[in-house]
Amino acid sequence: MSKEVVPKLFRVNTGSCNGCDVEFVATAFVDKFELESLGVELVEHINEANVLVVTGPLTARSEPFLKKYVAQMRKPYAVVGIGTCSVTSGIFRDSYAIEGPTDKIVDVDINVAGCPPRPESIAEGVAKGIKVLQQKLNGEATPKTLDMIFSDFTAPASFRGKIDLNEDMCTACRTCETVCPSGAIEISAVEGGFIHKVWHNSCCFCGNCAYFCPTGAIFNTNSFDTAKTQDEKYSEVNVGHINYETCSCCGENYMPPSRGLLGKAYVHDDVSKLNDAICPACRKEANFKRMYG
Amino acid sequence: MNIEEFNNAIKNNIVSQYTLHDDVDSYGNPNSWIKLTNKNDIEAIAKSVSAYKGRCVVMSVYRNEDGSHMLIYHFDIDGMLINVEVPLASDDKNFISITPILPSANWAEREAREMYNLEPVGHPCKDRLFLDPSMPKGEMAEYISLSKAQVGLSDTDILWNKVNEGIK
Repeated sequence: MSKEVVPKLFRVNTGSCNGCDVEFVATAFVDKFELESLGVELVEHINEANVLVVTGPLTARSEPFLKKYVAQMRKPYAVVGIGTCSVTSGIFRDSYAIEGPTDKIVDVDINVAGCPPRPESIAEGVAKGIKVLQQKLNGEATPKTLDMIFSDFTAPASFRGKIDLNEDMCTACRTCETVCPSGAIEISAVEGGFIHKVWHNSCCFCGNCAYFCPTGAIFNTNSFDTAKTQDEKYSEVNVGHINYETCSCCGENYMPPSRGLLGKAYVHDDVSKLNDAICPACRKEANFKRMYG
Repeated sequence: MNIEEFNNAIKNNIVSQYTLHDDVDSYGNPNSWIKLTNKNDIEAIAKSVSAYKGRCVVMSVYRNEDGSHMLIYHFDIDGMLINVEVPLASDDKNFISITPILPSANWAEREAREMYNLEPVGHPCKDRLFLDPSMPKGEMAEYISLSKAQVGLSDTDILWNKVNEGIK
């Protein structure tokens, strides 16, 4: 027998810059985002609430307040963390003033990454939070993954969104890893090449990586599908493989020049013919022999 | 009001040697640096600033390699900026608070107390300014390289280890 639930939201700011809070208010007040269709009520008292919405990286000053509110909540309840700060403490991670992220204090159900998230993502996160609450009320286990509830995730073309990687263009130069302010990118050497990882739940959507990438390999997708369950927190990762090539002359492994770089160097040529499997050392030697006999 | 007039006002009240360097910034604003040799002379300067109806804009603090600290008070008198360097010895953590004379120095001195664990003696307020009471004073005494601070490098790989587990 399914119980009908009236979702009552209570918002806690745990040291947020206010970006997520403003975006949350915009989501609540603008009809377009269809939060009303969920029958949501915003409540003033924590003991009335059954959905806790958390923003901010959880500063040392706000930690006791969050603990106090969590202790006052009546079970069952769902927790929705809004913004990258709430999910992983984002750019403030490792600061002396940060005790976060939120899931250290309370069992989070839905994480909404973004800095700040788009209203569509917030609406999606709240909708998924309500779904989790419904399942908890029915005595069911919290789902490991949830399908998208609001299907429309379009954003203006200028909006950045999640990061993606074109493996063919990437040379694993580590520029993006170096300029990322929130530790969302990791490039690790493995046998046969490199693995390039972008962890969306740590990304602050600043676009530095795409801006500084010398080959245009890393880019924004304009996708704001960032509302995910807690089980997906550490698996919401974009993984790219950048493989070495084997030189057809000497047999050594080498990192091939990316098409992006070749395209910049040989503006008027078809770069596909330049990408023969030959390492720079052999290419240099062959050119030397050709010119000086 | 000019720096010569201010210098005449302070020179009879300062007991130790000091130097005054008069300068003008690129916009033509007067910008003077006073370097004290005795930290207690800051009180006389604060009294003069107060007499001229000036204010303490903000304070800068930095830590030298030998562990000593330098306090720099930035005063403003009718648009003229006066920067006063107050040296503290390496084992000295106390300086005279000028807040009783210039209330505008209240927050700046409390910030120096929290971030560098220096004590403004005679400061009327003992409360924390912004650091949570759970944190020790002197957070800025910890050495963090600029390159690390700029790119937000983590001390640990705990989260990335979890990510690498999560994507297996």
